[in-house]
Amino acid sequence: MNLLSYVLRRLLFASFVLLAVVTITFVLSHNLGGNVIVAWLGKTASLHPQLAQLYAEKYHLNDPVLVQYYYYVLGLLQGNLGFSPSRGFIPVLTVISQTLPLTLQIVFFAFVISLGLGALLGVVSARYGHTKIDGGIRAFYLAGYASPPFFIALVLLIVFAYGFKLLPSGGAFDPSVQQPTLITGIPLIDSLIEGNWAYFVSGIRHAILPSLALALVTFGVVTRVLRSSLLEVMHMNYIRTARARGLDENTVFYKHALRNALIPVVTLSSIILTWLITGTIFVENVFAYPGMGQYVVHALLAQDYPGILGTTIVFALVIVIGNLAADLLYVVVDPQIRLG
Amino acid sequence: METSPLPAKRASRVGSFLSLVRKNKEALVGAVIVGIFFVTAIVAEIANVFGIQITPYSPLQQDVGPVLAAPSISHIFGTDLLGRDVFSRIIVATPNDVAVGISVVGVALLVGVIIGSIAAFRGGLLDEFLMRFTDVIFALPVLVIAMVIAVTLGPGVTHMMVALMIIWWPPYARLARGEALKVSHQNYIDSARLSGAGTWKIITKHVVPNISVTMLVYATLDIGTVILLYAGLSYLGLSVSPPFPDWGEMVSSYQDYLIVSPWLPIIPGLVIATGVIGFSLLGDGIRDALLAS
Repeated sequence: MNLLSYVLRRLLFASFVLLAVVTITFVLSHNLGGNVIVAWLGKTASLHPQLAQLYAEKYHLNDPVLVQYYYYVLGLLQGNLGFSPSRGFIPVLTVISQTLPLTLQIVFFAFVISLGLGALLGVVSARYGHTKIDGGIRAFYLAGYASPPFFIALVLLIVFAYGFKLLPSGGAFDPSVQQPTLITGIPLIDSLIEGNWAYFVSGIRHAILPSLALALVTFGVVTRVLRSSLLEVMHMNYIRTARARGLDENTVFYKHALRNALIPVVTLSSIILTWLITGTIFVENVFAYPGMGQYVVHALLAQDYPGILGTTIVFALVIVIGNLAADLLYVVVDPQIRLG
Repeated sequence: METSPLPAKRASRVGSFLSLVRKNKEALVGAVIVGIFFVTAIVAEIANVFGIQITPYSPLQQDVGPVLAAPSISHIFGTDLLGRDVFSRIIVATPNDVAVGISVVGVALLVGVIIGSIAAFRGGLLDEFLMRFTDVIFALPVLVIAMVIAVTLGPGVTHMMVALMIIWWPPYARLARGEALKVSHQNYIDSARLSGAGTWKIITKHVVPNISVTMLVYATLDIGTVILLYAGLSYLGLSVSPPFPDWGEMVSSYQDYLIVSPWLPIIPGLVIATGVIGFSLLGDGIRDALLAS
């Protein structure tokens, strides 16, 4: 029963966060360019009087604020995010359905690299605690953590795309390869299902540098927490017991210490996910990767308010869902929550 | 009540603390970096107010050297497409970044301590309400929310500052509440209560001084993070308006010349990273020194 109430509490909390985001965007939409309609149709709203009138009626924009709020939330639930002037007035939702899958692809790879590299270096750091190796790893992750994502992206671009010419410098795939048909909506998965290897390989090659740039900013948190949690666990009584039972040091370290030390790392995954998703705003811009991050930047430059507000809500939604997943994953790995 | 040996004792404690920080090489490096950034920011700001040029060239003047020149003795960070001196531009941008870092963290510290200690001392429904509110704000994606607030306010350094201030305080409130709860079980709080002191007086006279060290260590580490975030907003074109320079803005406007003059976007990027590393090392070092003492 405890588990159920935990999950319900997390769900309730997640909906509160989303409500807060929606309320913030609602309040802000009333302060853009002096007219609410601008938030739906952009600065050029006056050029489309018919569309503006349609919106005003449908969303009760001439009614009291609370009525507007109700229709605003209702509209969002129906997927209405307005029209994007910077993309030729197609619905914001359409733009997002085209760009979000690409963003999720690099976020997924970055998440895997971040945890993998972070955990590996955390283990090595703890194994060789307070030595030169430990110090070197600390310098590496401090540099990564302290660098703005766009800076790391530029350095990777110079070294791997322009210097060694190993990887493409921009885009999400080679324009000469045939794009996969829509199945799941995630191009890399669709190309795998179809057996479209040319696209798959090209997609992966284009995703490596953006994902790596994101991962280099975030892996340090994993390394840092895993290192200190490992060093702490190694002083625990059960580790002494395991040693006293005559187990060799490797078994003690990897089987007994590491498993418990990994628990705090799981709680980090929600923070990392948030950083990765917001990091795409910068990294996609450097690599001209046509995901949602690049769309936000274009929308910012063009003062495309519907695009900015719409992506804000979707970014928040993705982050809230990711955090919820991390909370639930925590239940799986930490028996104290399950039983406690 | 205050006896004379107390200040002396405190002074010696500060002294031993400083020597511990000094022994920690990382903290020392951090302190030096932070010191350089602070001094540069203050000198540049004063010079700006009095209209004195302290940089080798005017930061806004075009064609002070050849276009896109590589770093050399006359232009140590090179020049940009309009022939402006990059080093001079970096120097005059320093006060902005340092000011945003300190003021955002300062406001977060103030708001956080007030909310956190009220929650801890009043308890009950008010505590529950304040902390759940804090949780919700804490869970918002900071950069994205700062971005929309900034868009609504319009670009500008002050607007960015305000946008960040609105959302930056939740971790401080959580930390302050936790620390205040620890303090609240101490005997001297009970005796203050018995002597008839109200919540506000207890908070300002007894709680704040006792939680200030923990809060300040966290704040030091955090200034770097705020600078990083501000650099991001500036990169997105939300801070200064051209031709005035800012570090993040310089990276974004110079990144088009990555192939011809890679140092142009790299140098301001390195400056941001160095500043953030400085605050991290200093914060870590102070914390280690406190744990040791």
